[in-house]
Amino acid sequence: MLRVNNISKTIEGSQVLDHVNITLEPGTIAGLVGRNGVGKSTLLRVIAGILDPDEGQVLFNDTNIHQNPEIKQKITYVPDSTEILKSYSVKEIVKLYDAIYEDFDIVYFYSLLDRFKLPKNKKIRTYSKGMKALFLMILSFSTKSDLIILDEPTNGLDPIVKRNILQFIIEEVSERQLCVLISTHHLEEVEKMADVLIMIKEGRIESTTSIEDAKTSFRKVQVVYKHSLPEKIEQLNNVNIINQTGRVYTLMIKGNIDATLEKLNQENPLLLEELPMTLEDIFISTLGGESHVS
Amino acid sequence: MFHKALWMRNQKLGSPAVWGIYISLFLFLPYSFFGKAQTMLTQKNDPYADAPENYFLNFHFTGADIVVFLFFIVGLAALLVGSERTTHATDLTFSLPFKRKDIFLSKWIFGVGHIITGLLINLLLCMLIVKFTILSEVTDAAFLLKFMLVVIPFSIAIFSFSLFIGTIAGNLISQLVLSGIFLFFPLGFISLIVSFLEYHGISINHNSPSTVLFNDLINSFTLPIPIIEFRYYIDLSDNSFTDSSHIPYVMLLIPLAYTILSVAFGTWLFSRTKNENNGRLLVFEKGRGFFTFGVVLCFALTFGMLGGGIFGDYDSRSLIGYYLSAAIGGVLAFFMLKKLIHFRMHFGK
Repeated sequence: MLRVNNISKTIEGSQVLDHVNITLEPGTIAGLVGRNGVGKSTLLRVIAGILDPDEGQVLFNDTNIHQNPEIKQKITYVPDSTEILKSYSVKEIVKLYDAIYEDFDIVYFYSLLDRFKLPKNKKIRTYSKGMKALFLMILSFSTKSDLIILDEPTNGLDPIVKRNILQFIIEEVSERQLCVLISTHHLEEVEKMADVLIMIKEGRIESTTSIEDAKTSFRKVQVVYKHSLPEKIEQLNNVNIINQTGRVYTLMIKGNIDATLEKLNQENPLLLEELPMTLEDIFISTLGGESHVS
Repeated sequence: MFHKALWMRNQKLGSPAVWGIYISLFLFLPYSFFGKAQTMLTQKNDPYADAPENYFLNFHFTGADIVVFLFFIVGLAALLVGSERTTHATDLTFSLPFKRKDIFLSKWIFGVGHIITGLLINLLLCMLIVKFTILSEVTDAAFLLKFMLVVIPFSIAIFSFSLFIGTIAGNLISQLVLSGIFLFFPLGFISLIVSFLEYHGISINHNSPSTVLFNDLINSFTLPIPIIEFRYYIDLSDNSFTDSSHIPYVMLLIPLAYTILSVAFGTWLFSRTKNENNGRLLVFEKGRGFFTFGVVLCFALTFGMLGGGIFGDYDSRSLIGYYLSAAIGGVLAFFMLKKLIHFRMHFGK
């Protein structure tokens, strides 16, 4: 459905995207995660046709979206800014989207407004930030697009609405076999709903895996040795120290798990236990470094 | 490019300026004409007691009356392109299933449509007022046809050129400022060059036929001038008549050329626009060096012209004063631009 081929983009002399490749199939929810400023929003804006790539192409159903923007009848992009339609009333937006998108479903749109209890007879500027974000998402799904691109979609939503909208996205994807590409910092959301995890680091795709594969290829352990962490262990390429308190080390093992656990055991640890692992642990281990990830 | 959705989008973006165009034209054309007719009628019915035969049968019209309309034309272009760049709205427009060429041309057609409609309706109303009121005793409506021949092509050219400026300017304010500067650039730049030459002892004979012809040409290249300088004056009480309204029809090729080139280059640039630079002074990084050189040069020449008299008088001008002022202007412009060129203006994140 969506193929991002070798996309590169330089902005103000710095390479924001570096030969990015992504392939997404129908019926997929893909979570795009990465630290601030690594090029997530730029990538989504290139895919949506807002920015031109310096190199490479974005193909939707084998059609280049930059050369044939008409194909975007089946693609909608929801930006992280909620201000773009604020001067419109709900009715005006319905008219506009009905004129733009051939398959815009007005009845469905109003049913979603009812479902999420959004007022129908108001200007968008009177909505709260969360309501605006929700409204843009509803608008996007009502176009009956096959690919929906959401940039930080749940920012500003309260936990109840957030849970409802995530549930709604899962329902839509399973019913219509559409593809949703979400950029977010909320890893628990990706963990709950995404099928595919795309990690981006310094403009490059670090990994594209299913959530399950990601979890099985990592292991989080806590170890305590008599002295400090043995040099042999420290030098292993697939072991990251994600925390250290005194002689207590929290390690993340990436790949080759059984053999690595064996090596840890061979160094006679005072304690070696596996810890429950979240996507955030994988995120920090893969993309993190020392500083705090926002 | 005639897509209904694009028209609706443009309507939303440009509506304040569109209202401004219609209201200003109505106020300064038919409303003003009717007011003049009413005043004339009052004076006829109630003439001055000391000279009852001389009720004022005079009528005057100048293109400068609708100068506010010209501001709204430039404003419309800025709302259609620059405002989107300043408010993140490009993210919506460029993600829609439309070719960039069609988006740009829809903006042009939208603006030109309203400009022509506004002018035609209001000038037609003026003609009817001239025809059916006391004004018909003083003049006929033919001068309005002449005005129409000037104001329509030059207004379209001003709008097209301002829209083109929007394809290189990165935000609303820079589009407005650059449009204003470049619309008066031919006249302004020639004045700076003449001043430069005169400071260097090369005198210009302002009355020679070739200079007059050159001035006419430069005035026509300065798009607002032919509209503002349109003058029609008639006074039957002393049989005086002024009609400096005519411009050679060949000059109408100038707004035509401006329009064609602005639309062609504007479409080409808009299709290649660098939205990542929205909010900045300029959209394209490539032309920044040339732009900086141009601004520094113009500031230097302007400061030289204005400050050159400090060390001398009108008859013995001081080159030292000229160059010192020019250097100050150039350095100021360079550092100001260095700051401005990296400044990003964004509203509504």
